[in-house]
Amino acid sequence: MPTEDVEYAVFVQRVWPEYLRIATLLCGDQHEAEDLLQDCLVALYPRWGKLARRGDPTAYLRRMLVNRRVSRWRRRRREILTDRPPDSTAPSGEPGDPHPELAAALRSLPRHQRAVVVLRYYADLTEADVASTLGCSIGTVKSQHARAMTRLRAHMPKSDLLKGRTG
Amino acid sequence: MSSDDSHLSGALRSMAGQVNAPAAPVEEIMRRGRRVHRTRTIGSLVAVGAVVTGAAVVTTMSLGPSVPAYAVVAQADDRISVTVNRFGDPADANSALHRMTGGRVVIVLEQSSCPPGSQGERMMPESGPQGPIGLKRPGLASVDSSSVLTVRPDSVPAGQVLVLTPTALPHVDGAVSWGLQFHRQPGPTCVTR
Repeated sequence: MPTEDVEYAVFVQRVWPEYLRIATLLCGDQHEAEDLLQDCLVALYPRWGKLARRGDPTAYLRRMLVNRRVSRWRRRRREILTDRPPDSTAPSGEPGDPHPELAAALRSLPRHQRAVVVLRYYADLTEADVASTLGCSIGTVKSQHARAMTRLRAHMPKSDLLKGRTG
Repeated sequence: MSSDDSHLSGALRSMAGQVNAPAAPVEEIMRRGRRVHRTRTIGSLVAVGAVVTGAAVVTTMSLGPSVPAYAVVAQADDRISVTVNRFGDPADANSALHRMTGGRVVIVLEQSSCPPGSQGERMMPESGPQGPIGLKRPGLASVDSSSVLTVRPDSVPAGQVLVLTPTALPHVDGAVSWGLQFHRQPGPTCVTR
């Protein structure tokens, strides 16, 4: 209904900046993140009425973001490899990037581990919420988290950011 | 969260803070969404949003010159409902609001003919742990699904006036948002009541 369209427009304007940041951390590339977030919001539009009345649209959007990110990653694995890398638009490594080492370490993580780290440490979700978002058990979140932290530490052995964490 | 977790959280926030978010491409998203959905039509809409707080509430505008621009109705629980039918002179609505709220709530159009200096003194919201307070008072303003903005006049701080300002909501035809601001009493002196 028309009112739902306006509510949806307001919702998009409200969530866009924050979810673009989450998507950028998940993707490691802002342009890809914008495409991903836009695709998710387009897919959410037909479901808006039901979601706005009965559910939590932001939780739904978060799930879409992670799942579609994984789908894209799978598609890309099937793409033909080339010895000419594409132009990178990743924010990491650019002048002014405050943590280039962490950005590179994040990019090295498998998709689910990366999602666990971003959702736990940036989005401040509980393990239960991360599990709900990823569609897995809390035990899986814990094990993915432990592996992610081990891998991050291996990439940043001298970093203070991870000192003392046991996973 | 331990201090070590805080370090990683802070670093991720610092990284994310480098993301320069452009304006949300609402029109593009909705155009694509409609194409996906195929049968959606928009119609004439009005959105009511608290611009200052970033919160947003919505209502629907029905067009027609014979319909009063705004309908103001006192609710049984001391709240006041304001329905936007179309953009027009809010004098009648302000007269009703003045009578019902004792001058605590007033509508001022953004493109009003208020001369400079007659808008009154705008109050800056106090800061609190959750950000600016005052405008975030629970129950101050809300909207129900039947497209009616509801205001609770007794949530307006003493000595202040809640000024409602409808403005166009970008990206959606016919949609507008309402700005909510507190002014020191007597509020805008240009308002006809």
